[in-house]
Amino acid sequence: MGKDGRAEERALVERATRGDADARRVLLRKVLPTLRSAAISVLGPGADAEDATQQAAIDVLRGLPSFRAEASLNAWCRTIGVRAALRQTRGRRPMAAVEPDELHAAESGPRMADSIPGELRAHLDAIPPLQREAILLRHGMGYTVPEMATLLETSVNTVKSRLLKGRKALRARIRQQALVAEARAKGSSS
Amino acid sequence: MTDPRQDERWQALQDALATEEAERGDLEVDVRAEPQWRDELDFYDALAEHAMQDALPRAEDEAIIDAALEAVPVGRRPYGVIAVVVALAAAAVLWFAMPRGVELRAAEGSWATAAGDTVASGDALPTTTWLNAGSDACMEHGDARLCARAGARLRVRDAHAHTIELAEGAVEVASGVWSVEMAGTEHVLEAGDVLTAEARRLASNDPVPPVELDAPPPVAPQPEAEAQPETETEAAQETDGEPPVSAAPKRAAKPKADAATLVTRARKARGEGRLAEAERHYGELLRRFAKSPEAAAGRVALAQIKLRRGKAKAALRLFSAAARGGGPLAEEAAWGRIQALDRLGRDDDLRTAVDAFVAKYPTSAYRARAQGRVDR
Repeated sequence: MGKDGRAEERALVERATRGDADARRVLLRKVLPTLRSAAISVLGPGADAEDATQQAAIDVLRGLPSFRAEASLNAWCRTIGVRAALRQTRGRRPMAAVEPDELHAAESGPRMADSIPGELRAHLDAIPPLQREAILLRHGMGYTVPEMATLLETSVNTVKSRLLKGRKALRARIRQQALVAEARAKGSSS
Repeated sequence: MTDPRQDERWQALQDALATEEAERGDLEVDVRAEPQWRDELDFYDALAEHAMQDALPRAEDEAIIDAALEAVPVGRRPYGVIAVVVALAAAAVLWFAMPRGVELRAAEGSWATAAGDTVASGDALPTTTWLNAGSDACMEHGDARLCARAGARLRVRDAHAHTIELAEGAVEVASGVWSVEMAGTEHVLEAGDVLTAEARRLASNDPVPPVELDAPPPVAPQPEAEAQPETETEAAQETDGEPPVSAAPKRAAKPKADAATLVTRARKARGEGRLAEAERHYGELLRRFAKSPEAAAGRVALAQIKLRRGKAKAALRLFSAAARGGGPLAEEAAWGRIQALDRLGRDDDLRTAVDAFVAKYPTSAYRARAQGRVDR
């Protein structure tokens, strides 16, 4: 976004924060695709993502006074969307009596966007939900570890632990798949 | 084949990069040198490329925007603070102005609240709910005394001003001056005056003109509405813009819809993303047909809409009422209650609700999700 665009954006936010009804509507129209994109990226398409989008739109209006002018509106809204979606996933997560990270993959947790190719999806689906969530936030959306800790309302160490376990599980699957593919290739050539 | 020690080092460095415990410069090996390393790096590259799903504007966006704008009114916070300050100031003024020790009390007979609680003679009478006189019963406020015939139904509008609203039955003023609102008309009654709702006329010592007789019978409150807790009625009315339950009759501009029609309208509106309209239809359903089978399901649906629109408190009241009422949707209502408590951040209540839910519905499909709310 250019300098003019950023200034225009800031002016829009200021008007919306002051309660200008038109500005509030225009702002929501502008950011709704970002909010939905964030929600779908965490929840997959469907009613849950729409609910999260609705909640995120409300959160944006409520959070306007805390928006800092130097921040990117898009990034700010994306984080709000992701946070709303993560809250939604909490309702789908299986119970963990001792250690949530050790639970095996279940139907709960982030579902992932349709845009993720099937092969990647298969690997991600095979790991526990909390680890999958961490992998998606870190490697899919580019959040830093401290940002993830804030989003997930947990400690930095917990985030690191989930990331490392998720990466280890994925590595094992990727390597296993490579070995199988190699064996098949050898079998077909001989 | 990769040297195992080299592979181990590569893995450790990759993981350290992911957890921000190493910098890119720490990685001295050629990360693309080995196929197994390349596959892993390709996986994360592809994930970074595809994880964020593009989303375009949609037809239902305006409904979402409308709902958000309605949920967060302009100037809500400042007005909220001002309202609290004004309310506190008004309360303080009333506190100092109010005669000490004067309280509205049941004087004779017994009164029953809309929630079914009985108020015995000598006890304080609630001033926020409809009251039914189980037998001939009186109420007192200081020297003023008003008696109701058995079966009368009324509510106290302002105890200090001796103002009540009469929906059914008859009342007689024993002492003092009382203002009785009936069918939209205010009557000022003095000792000896009797006002009868059914007959719509003033009896002896008539100090004011009789009430018009051509008004249609009150639409509400209906008997069904009595069983609904007051808080639920408030929740149902919160945003629908219609007046609260009142004995005042109103000429409808068009025939009132029946319960099934209201449900159909609500579902259609909900399905098309017009949540405010769906909320209105469900609210009307609850007020007018509170004990119908449609209302039982409508209560949960309305609560879900309110929760979705960020009105967690109102949703909680409705879910709680629906859960108490039992029926086929009690489990959904209990689950909704958990969601609302979670949204409100009431952690202790949430934990209690989840424990109760798990105990009551051990095989519920919502069980894991409910427990997940307290485990995070």
